Amino acid sequence: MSSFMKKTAFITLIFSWLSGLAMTVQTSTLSLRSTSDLTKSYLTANLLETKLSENQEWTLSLETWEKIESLWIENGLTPRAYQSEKIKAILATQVPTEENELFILNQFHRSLIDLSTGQVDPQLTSSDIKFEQHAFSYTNLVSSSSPQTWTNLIQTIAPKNLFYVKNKSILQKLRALQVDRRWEKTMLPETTILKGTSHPIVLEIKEKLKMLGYSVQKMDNNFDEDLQSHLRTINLNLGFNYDGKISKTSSFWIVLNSDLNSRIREAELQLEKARWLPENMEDKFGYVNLSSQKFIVYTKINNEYTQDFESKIIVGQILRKTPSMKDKVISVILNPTWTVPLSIFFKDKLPILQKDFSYLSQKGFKVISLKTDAEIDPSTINWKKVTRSNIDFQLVQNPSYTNALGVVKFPMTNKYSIYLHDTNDRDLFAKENRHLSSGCVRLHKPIDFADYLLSATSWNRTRIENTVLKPGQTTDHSTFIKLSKPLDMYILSFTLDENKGALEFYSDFYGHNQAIHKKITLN
Amino acid sequence: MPQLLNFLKNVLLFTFLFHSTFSFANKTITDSVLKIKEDDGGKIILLVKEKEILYLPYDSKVFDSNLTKIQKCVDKKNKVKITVDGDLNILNIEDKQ
Repeated sequence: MSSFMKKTAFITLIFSWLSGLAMTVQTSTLSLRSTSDLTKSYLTANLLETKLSENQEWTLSLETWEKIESLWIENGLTPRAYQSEKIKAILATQVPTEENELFILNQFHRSLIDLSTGQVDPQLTSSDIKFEQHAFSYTNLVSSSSPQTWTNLIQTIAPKNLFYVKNKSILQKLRALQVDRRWEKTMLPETTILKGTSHPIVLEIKEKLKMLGYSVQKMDNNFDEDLQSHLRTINLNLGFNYDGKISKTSSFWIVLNSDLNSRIREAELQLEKARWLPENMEDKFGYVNLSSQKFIVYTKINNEYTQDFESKIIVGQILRKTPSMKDKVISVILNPTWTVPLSIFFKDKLPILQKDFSYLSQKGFKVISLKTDAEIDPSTINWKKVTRSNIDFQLVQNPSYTNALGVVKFPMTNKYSIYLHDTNDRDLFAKENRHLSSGCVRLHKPIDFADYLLSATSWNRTRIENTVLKPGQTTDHSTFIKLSKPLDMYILSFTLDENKGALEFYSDFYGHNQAIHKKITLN
Repeated sequence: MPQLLNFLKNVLLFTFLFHSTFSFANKTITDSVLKIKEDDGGKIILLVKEKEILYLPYDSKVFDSNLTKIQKCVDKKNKVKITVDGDLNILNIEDKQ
C-alpha cells in the first residue's frame, strides 16, 4: 500500500464520522479550502495547507480544471495520467462528495510532484543514467508570499532551468505545427535531385523547413545552395553524412517526414530529462550533449545564459555509454599519462607483447606493479605466461603527443573514471557519428578549453602551448593545475534543440527517450 | 566390474570435455582488501592473501552497489566475501564482519 493510500485511509477513518459536515457545493464547483475537514486534513497532511492563502478563492470549477489541463500539456504532462476525464465528469455533472474531493486533490498533488521531481526515477530508466531524483518540498519550491491558486501553484512549481524553458518552447512550437495542419507526409522522390535543378518537391521541402523555423531565402522549386546547406545541417545533426542530393534514401527525411505526434512525445520526454536538473543552475557550467555530440559552456550575464565556449566532442560508443550525470571539472593536467585498462591489455596489447615486448619502449609504455607501484623491468616478465589469473601489473603510457589521452586531460570527480581529454586520434572529429570512445569525452579543442579554464591564472595560452608536448617530444612528468573554482558539468542527452529560432533534431543514440517513455508508460 | 569401468570411463570423458567449463565457473573469496586502484575500464581490487586481482567493471549493472559495499568494508577494516566470475569480474560483495 502506498504511503498516500495509507494516509488517505487513516484520514478517511478519522474523519468519516464527520460525514454530516456540509460541503459548500455550488453547481459544478468544488470548494476545497474551507468546507470539508477531510479535505483540510489532506491539505495539511500533504503540506498544501500552508501554501494556500486564507484569502484565496480555493474553489474548483470545470473551467479552472481545463486551465490546469492546459498547463499540464504545456509542461509535457499527460492529463490522462491524472484521470482528468473522470475529474471533468465529476465537475461537470456530479454532486461532489468527499471521496471525489480527495480523488481530485490526490491527482492534482501527484501532478505537482511529477512536475517538480519528474514522473520516474531517472536511475530506474537506464543503467547509464546516474542523475538522482530530487526530493519534493513545497517549502523549497513555493514562496509563502506568492498568491497560490490552482493554476499559480502549477506555474510556481514548474521548473524554470535553462533546458526546461528551452524544451518547453520547442514543445509549444511542435504543438503549434500540429494545430496548423499543414505538416503532411511528403511523397519521396523517385529520382535523385541534384543541386541546381528544379523539382516540385523542392518547394515542399522549403515550406517544411520554414515551418521548422529555418530561414529559407527563396521559396521556389530550385534546389539552391541555401537549401543544400540546411539539408546538410539536418543530416549532420542526426549523425549522418550528406551527399548533397535529394533522394528517397536521404537521411533528412527522418526530420522532414517526422510524425508530429512522435516528435511531440519526444519533446515531452526532453522536459522529463530537464526535471533532473537543479532549479538554480550555476552561473557558469559545462554541458555535454551526448546526442548532438557537442560541448558547450554557458555563462549567465545579466540574467541570461550565453554560450561561452563550444567544441565538437567524441563520446562513449553504444556498448560503453558515457554516463548521464552531474559532475565537475576540478583540474587541468598537461601531458597526462594513460593507464591501459585490463580489457584492452588482454585484447590488444598482450598479443603484441608476446611477440615482441620492445613495443613497450617504442610506444612509451612502462610496467608498474599493482602492489608496490614500482616500475618493473619488462624483460623480467614471461609475457607468454601472463594470464588474467596472475597479472599483477599495469601498463602506463608516458606523456607524449601520441599518448591515448593526447596532451591535455580534464579530470572530474565521478567514480566511473569519466573525464574530458584530448586524443591522439584527432581525425575522428571529421566523422558525423562520433560515438566512438570507451566512455570518456574527447574534446576537439582541448587547448582552447584549457586556456578558457585557466584564463584567470598565470597559465596563459602561450605558456600552455609551450608546455604541451609536440610530435616527437616526450617527458617523464605531467603538469597538474588545480582549478580554484571547479566547473560544474551536466552530461546528458537532449535530442531536440532550438538554434536561432530553428528546431534541431538529434538521434537518440543511447535509446534514453525510449527507455524513459517505457518507464513512464509502465508507471 | 565392466559397469564400474564404463562408469569411470564416462566420468573421465565428462571431466575432459567439460574441464574448460568448470574453470570458468563463479567462485567465492573471503579476504581483506589491500587497495583499490583503477583504470579507464573499472576498479582493480587487490586483496591481502589472494594473489589474483579482482575487477569491478564500470559497465557492470552492480557497479555502484558493489563499490559502495567494498568501500564500507575498507573503511571498517572488515573482511569481504567476494563472488567473481571466471574472468575474475566481481559479481557480488558481502561484508564478513
